[in-house]
Amino acid sequence: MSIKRTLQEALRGLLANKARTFLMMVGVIIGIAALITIVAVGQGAKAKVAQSAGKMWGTNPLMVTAGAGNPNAGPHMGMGVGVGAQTLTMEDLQAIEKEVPNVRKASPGLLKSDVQVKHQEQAATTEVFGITPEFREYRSWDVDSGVFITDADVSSLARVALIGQTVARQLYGDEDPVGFRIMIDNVKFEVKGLLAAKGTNPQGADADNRIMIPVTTFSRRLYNVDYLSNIVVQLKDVNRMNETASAITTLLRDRHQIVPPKQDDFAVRTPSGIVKMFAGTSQALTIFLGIVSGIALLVGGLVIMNIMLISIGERTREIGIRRALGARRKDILRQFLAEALLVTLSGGLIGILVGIAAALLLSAAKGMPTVISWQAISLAVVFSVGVGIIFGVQPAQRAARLNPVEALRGK
Amino acid sequence: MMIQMQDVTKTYEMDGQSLRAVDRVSLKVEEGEFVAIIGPSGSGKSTLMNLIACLDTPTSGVYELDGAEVSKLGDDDLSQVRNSKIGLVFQSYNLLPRMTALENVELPLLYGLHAADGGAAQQALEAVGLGERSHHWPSQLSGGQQQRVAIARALVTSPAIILADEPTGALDTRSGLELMAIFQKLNREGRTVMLVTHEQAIAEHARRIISIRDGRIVSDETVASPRQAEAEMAKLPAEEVLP
Repeated sequence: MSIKRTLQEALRGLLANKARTFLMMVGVIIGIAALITIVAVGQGAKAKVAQSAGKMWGTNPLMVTAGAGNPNAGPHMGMGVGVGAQTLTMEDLQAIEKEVPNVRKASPGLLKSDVQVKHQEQAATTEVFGITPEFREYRSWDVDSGVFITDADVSSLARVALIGQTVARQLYGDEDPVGFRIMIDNVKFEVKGLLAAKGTNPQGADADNRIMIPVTTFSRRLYNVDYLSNIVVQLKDVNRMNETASAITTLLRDRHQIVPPKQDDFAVRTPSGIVKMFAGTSQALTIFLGIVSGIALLVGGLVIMNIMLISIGERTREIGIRRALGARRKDILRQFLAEALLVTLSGGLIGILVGIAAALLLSAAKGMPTVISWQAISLAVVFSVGVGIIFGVQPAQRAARLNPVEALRGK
Repeated sequence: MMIQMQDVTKTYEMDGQSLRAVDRVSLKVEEGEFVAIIGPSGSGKSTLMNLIACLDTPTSGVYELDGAEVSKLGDDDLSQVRNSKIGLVFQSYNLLPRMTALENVELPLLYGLHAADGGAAQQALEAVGLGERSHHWPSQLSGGQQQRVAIARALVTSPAIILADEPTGALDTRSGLELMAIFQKLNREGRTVMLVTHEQAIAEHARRIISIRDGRIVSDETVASPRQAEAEMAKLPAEEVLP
């Protein structure tokens, strides 16, 4: 029997009992809808993390931070791990710039938390970053008003500051703070620019609660330190990120005389590591929904198998007639398998639509980012077909094995 | 030789006892014959019918159908033999309820390598006088009409032999006679027809009657002058005109 006729016969069989056919589909619809929703939410979360990590982290730099520890953890996307650690120096930076190929520019960074800042009677606690003008480029972070820190500010140890929106609101209310004075740990600075708002970073910290001053002013005028919290390394060719990262690691181990089993007193971070870290947070949800989807598909499959067995019992006579008229076992097998596949495939298609609707609803109602991908849809189709085959084969075989004489006697 | 059976036996195992439903039956049927197999219920005539129809295989013995031995064939081959050589008509019509008359007649064509198409099915329906009912559902047809659809289904593959199992069992006298008239017409046109019945009056429409009892042939006689269904119908009281 041709495939077309087989499908026609299967469709006829299914349409003969529409309520039952729908019942067979329900499990598959739920399972596939859950699957589509999971993947949409999972990929949406991943995309959002990648996007916000990109926003916080800037464009493709490597970062070397002082101190040991998990290279992909830290309260400030790595900026804060160097607090207190004094293992990175300006000489390390110069060595990186000079000796590691593929390094375009290495920029020093310093950080101090819990710094008291004041303007007249208003006070606030914030973080102070020592930066260079390159910061603007590699973090894609500019000022909303005023001007960014310049090379001249760095070389002259200028007492100028860029302040974040949260600090600005606390000290100056709604006024534009540019041109005002600010006291940082009781040293007088001039507000040179108001930083663009960044919002909260993926870990929930307020990225706008900070002040930036020239790195030289930080180290020589304000706190008198001779170490660096971090070094941001910009690359000539970002495709060689990993080999450059290992070159820097080798160089610094050499410079810091680190041989195993001694641990590194620095860490080299890459943006993909950061993205990976945040992707992990949505994994729990994905696993949970994955289990829901798996159970729904399993139950759906078992329902299909049971209903098919019942249906074959009721259609014994029909099977007998077909066999008497010359249907081979495999013709019967194919007919019932085709019925199972039609059920799961159309259930799967409905499930895909329901899943897409659920994903869109989630984005609209909860602001959850979702991504509908072709991969998810293909996966859903594959699963639908798989459930149809796995749970349809056994009943179809039972139908095919019926003895024609006995089947003709049946109801 | 259309059918040649030699010592065909069918044994069933039941509750540890073995039952010979068909016991060393030898039988020859020539092409163009009209044979009735008659016997009371439990005589083994249905089992014999199933063997002839290739729905079942004998426990022992040799069965040749249309020149080919079929007693040793596997399931797929038997299915093909049923499809191409045998036209089956059952007591309870056995039409599929969710197919139109035409679709029911087309059904055997699905399962074989037939050049025939929907046109053949329509022709078969016309041959049994139901050309205008081809798109009716079985439930919209009378019992006699349903059985004629079943005959059309048996004819559509141009089988070597038409086998009918108690075809009039569920029909009233007039419909039964109409059906016998069709079988007689088909036989006059050269087709081999075999029917199984327990009614002597029905059997007497055939040209040869084989009696079965306890799984054995007890008599095999030629009917000198078979009943003519059309003549009998003419003698029936006038049919009520249905709206």
